[in-house]
Amino acid sequence: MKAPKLWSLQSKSILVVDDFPGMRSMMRGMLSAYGADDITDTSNGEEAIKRMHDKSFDIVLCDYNLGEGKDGQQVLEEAKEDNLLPYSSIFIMTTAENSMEMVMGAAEYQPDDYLSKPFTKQVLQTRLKRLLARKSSLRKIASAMQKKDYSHALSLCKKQLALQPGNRFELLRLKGELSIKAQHFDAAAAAFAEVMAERELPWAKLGYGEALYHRERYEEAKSTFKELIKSNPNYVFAHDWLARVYKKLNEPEMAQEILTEATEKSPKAVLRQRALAEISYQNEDLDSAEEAYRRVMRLGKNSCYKSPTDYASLSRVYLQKGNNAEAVKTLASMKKEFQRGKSGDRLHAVILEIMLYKDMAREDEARKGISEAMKLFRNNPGGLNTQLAMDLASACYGLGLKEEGDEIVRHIVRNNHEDQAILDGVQSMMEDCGIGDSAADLIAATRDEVIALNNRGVEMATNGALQDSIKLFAQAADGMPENLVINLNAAQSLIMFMQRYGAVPEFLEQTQAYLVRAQSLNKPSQKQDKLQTAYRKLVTSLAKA
Amino acid sequence: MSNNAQKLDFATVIASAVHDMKNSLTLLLDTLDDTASEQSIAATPLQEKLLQAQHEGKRLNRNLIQLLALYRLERRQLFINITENGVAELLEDVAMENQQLLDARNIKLEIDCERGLIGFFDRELISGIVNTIINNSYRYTKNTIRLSGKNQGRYLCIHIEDNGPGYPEKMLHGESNTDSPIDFQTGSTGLGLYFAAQIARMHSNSECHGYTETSNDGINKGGKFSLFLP
Repeated sequence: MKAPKLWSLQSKSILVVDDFPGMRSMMRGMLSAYGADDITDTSNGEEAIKRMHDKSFDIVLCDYNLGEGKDGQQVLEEAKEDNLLPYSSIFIMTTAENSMEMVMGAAEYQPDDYLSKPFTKQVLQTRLKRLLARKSSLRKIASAMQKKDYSHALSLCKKQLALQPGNRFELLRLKGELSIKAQHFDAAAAAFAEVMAERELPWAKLGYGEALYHRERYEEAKSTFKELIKSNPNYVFAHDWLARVYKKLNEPEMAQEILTEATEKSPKAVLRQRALAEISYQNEDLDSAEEAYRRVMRLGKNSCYKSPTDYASLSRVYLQKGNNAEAVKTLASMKKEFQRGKSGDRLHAVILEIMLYKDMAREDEARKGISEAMKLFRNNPGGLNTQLAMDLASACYGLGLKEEGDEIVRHIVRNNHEDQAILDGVQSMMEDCGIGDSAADLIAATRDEVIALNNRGVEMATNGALQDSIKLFAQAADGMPENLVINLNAAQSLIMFMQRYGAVPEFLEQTQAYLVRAQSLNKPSQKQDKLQTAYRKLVTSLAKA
Repeated sequence: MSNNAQKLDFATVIASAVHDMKNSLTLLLDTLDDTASEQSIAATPLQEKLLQAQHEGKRLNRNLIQLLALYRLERRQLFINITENGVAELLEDVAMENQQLLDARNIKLEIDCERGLIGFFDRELISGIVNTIINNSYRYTKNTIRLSGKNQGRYLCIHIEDNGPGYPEKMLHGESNTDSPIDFQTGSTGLGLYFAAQIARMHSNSECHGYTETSNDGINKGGKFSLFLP
């Protein structure tokens, strides 16, 4: 036997999640044998998420089956959604079952590896060794991805591919996925096609079809997904995408059929059940919609995908079936379920409740809801997104509460002052409510306010009053988190300040937050790319200093 | 509510029982592993006995996996997860798992595989098969087992050879015929080979299916098991 290599888990932070105490102490023993000195363990998923909020881990070893509460897949999903697991970290799902079962249950995210029980120390070591090596070769790309700087991640990816590396397929997959995120759909298709030329791997064909879908080449996308399903009948992701294609092709019945098939094969994924519920409702198949929504609620109980919308939608289904008693009961359980939740969720629930009471012609309850919603909104304006704000404003106007309606409309316009489609939407919503006359003035006045504020900030910056400009834009961005221009200018004034006086970590962090927010609005622009580049330069300058 | 949610079918019962049994087996095997590795008993008869016990524990586990997988296969609930894998890494992993046991009986394990050779298969299932076959060889070989991997036409082939007396007549077959029932009289080997043939068949690539072969073309006419994956 060769002499043991110098490999150690020393100073790696490791989280072990298993409901079986004997298993936890065994894992501790195995990991310590390889030098691990920073191990946390916990018996359930809820606790695991808390620990990950407190501290970021390099390695998470999580059992799939955790008894009551969240299962391993739900832990993974929530950790990813809450940004607790950067691409550089390792998530291994340990399991006593066939791993394919879990792959089938997965919707959005998959772990880096599955490890089936029983496993020995050596197996654990080899897997960790390989994963750590793999992740470290992708370290730079991962850090760009964490900052949602996809164009930079992409160029790093291309550079690595040019070196003809051993993990070429993995890089091509990353390149494809990043290209889709950066909306370079032709490049994405090319990356996936390169893999397919050598081997028709399901993920490559799926990605290829996805790129076609985004290019709006729906017929080609349809045949791609159909072929994929034919050769891999259990690859449920292909069903998800085929259903999306059918929706675009205006064949909602087919979409429902394909999603029904997919949920039968993989019944545990909440998002897939929700898609089925929505399409069934759209097809006026109320029985199927009811069943699917009930499954969504049952499966969503411990899931981060739990949403008040599902309760409201089910309530609406009952309403249309003439079952008002069940509708009201569902609303009550929604309020109960979300009363202690995030304020955004609470506001969401109340708005849905208002709309349903309005439909039921129970005006008193609807009015009560509106005053509650306004209170929540004034406490935290950032928690009200444009879509819901439209519903709330329309409900206010419908009940003759013009003042409240105007307040909400101003919020919408402030957040979207340059988005003509949304401004038109506000206009026609107000027309539908019979107050179209005052719409144009209200919209224009609010928009001018934002423009004036923006100009003032820009002027401060150009005159060198950078700190004033930073303060003004920061305040503005708090009130209008969805406003692209304001967020970008907030980032720009910070960048200008640092270009003049040197980079500081605190400002870099703030800049990144504004850029990430702008990125999440999904309206790519040249200005954004330029700011990203400038930001990167500042980061490097700080690192060198 | 749908009926599926309330019906507790046998598959669920099996799955949860297996979950429990595997937790026990994991702890059992880990304890054996630790004890057998104690310096104070190195190269003693006690260590050999512990390694034997460990070997039996692993066999128990493999049988459990195969049983559950075959049950699922019959009910069309077994799915395979084909990914890109390094073949040399796979063979090294399996070799390492069995190293201690083979060392104790002075059996030499050779690996003949080019670094960088890539194959497309379900890593867990295929490493399970290679493990099973090595354990058969362990029981029959004189003193050598050889693992090799190479590309042959449209197939990746993995051979496991030994220098024992070879397979008995009735277990010899060319390209595996998965349809014909097999003779379970021969003990666990039969189940293992049957399982291997089934899993190989589930691996396909543009109309080509995987298969297995047994022959006595191994080292000095010893047993040779071959796995062909498209």
